Amino acid sequence: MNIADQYMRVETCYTGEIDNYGYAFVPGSAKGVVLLDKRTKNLLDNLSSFHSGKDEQRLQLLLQNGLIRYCDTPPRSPALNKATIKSMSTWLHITNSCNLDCGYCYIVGKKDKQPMPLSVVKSYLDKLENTIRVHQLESVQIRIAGGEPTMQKKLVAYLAEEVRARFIEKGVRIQLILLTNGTLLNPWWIQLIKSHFMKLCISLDGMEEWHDLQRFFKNGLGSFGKVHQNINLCLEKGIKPNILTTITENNISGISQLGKYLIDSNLPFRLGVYRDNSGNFDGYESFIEKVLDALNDCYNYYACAIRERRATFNHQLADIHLNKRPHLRSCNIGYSGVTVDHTGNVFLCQAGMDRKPIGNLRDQSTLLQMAWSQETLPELREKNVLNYRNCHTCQWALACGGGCPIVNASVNGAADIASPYCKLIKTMIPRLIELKALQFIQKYVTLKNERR
Amino acid sequence: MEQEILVLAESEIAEVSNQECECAQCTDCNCPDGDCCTDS
Repeated sequence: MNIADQYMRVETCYTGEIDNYGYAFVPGSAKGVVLLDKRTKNLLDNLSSFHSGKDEQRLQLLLQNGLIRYCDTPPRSPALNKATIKSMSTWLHITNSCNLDCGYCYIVGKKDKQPMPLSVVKSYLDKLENTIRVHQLESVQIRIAGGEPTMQKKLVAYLAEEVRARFIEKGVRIQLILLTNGTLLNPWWIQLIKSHFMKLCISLDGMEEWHDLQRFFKNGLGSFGKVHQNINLCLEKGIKPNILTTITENNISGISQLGKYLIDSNLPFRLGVYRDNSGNFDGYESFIEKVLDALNDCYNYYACAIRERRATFNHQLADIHLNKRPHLRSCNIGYSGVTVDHTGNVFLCQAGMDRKPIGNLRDQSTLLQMAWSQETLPELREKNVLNYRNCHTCQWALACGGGCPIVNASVNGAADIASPYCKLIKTMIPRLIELKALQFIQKYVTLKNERR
Repeated sequence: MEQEILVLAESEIAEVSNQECECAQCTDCNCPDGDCCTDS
């Protein structure tokens, strides 16, 4: 019997070749991308090509790296386990007010201009303290958002100081993340961001008129000039913002140009997609085709920049996670994340603030208990991507998590059905893995040269 | 000549925690596990 007959390739293992290297990736594996010499890659692709006396070590290394498994051991099946949660995130919607008037904004009740009162900030911090204690959490991410949070200087400064005094100085890891349109950033904000080690996310939807087409001031003037100026200000002051881009039907033709700018600037960026087509699946296909064209153009450019060492791969597409953990959901809503609005109401998701709250800061429950008992999308209480319809047999399930539950529910009527962007996700994951492999090759070559 | 064996996982290369990491995913992490540091 051939020794390789006792092994099989892990079902979800993906392999590719680039620049004379092979590589493999198993979604959710702690190993991440695995670089292979070509012979080992060929052996992985065809275990029956095993040569006794030549390939034993290769086989063992493939096994150790989780790319093959014994035929008689069942495949691993990860599961969400609330008892093991050590980290949560809260989206803190501190105001409805904004100085921009973007067409795709999901905020309802824009006439309500009141920011979060300090009494609600205090209630939030009390509730967070209680949640951390009850669930013995080790870290929390607080996303400060709106509306436009930089219209609330005093509130954000107060929040940051209180977080430092109440949590950070007592050893709880709290990461503040400021999500802003970038138009109001100035030296005061730079100082605050730096002194509290905040992470900064700035929305940028295109270059020049492509951005201005969908992100403009209330008087109709575009915001690109101001945002671009402030991105440069951040870079001058040593802050590298993460750029968040929303791809829509309107700015799709400008995405390739934007991608090249972000790659040349070596800025981290995340591309999201948005179609206002609730309840209607028609139209997604043509939109996806346009997005694929734009992304392929971007990623071809990215590959060149990585090879030439002009850029490092630092990008996320939608909710695709190619890190070293299984992603049983595309995000943490209904599990380890909640949204708190400026009135103290708690919601399943920031994009679902038009729905019934899942609680209020005055309630007895902890924030996690509210997330777990929510009724906005009851299917999320128990399900994960491995039991979503159309997803459970997908090779990419643990990298995709099924897509945005809110979008799935609005288009398909339920969150536990594959995303309307499924084709986009499935097509692009191999390209993203290839970029990661290219980046890894650069790192490997550098290490190899250093050791010589 | 026999080709040198290469089986090298990303996880074997030194990482930083996501507190320091500036990657796109960590900066805007919203995954169920929270601390999803990955690439560095």
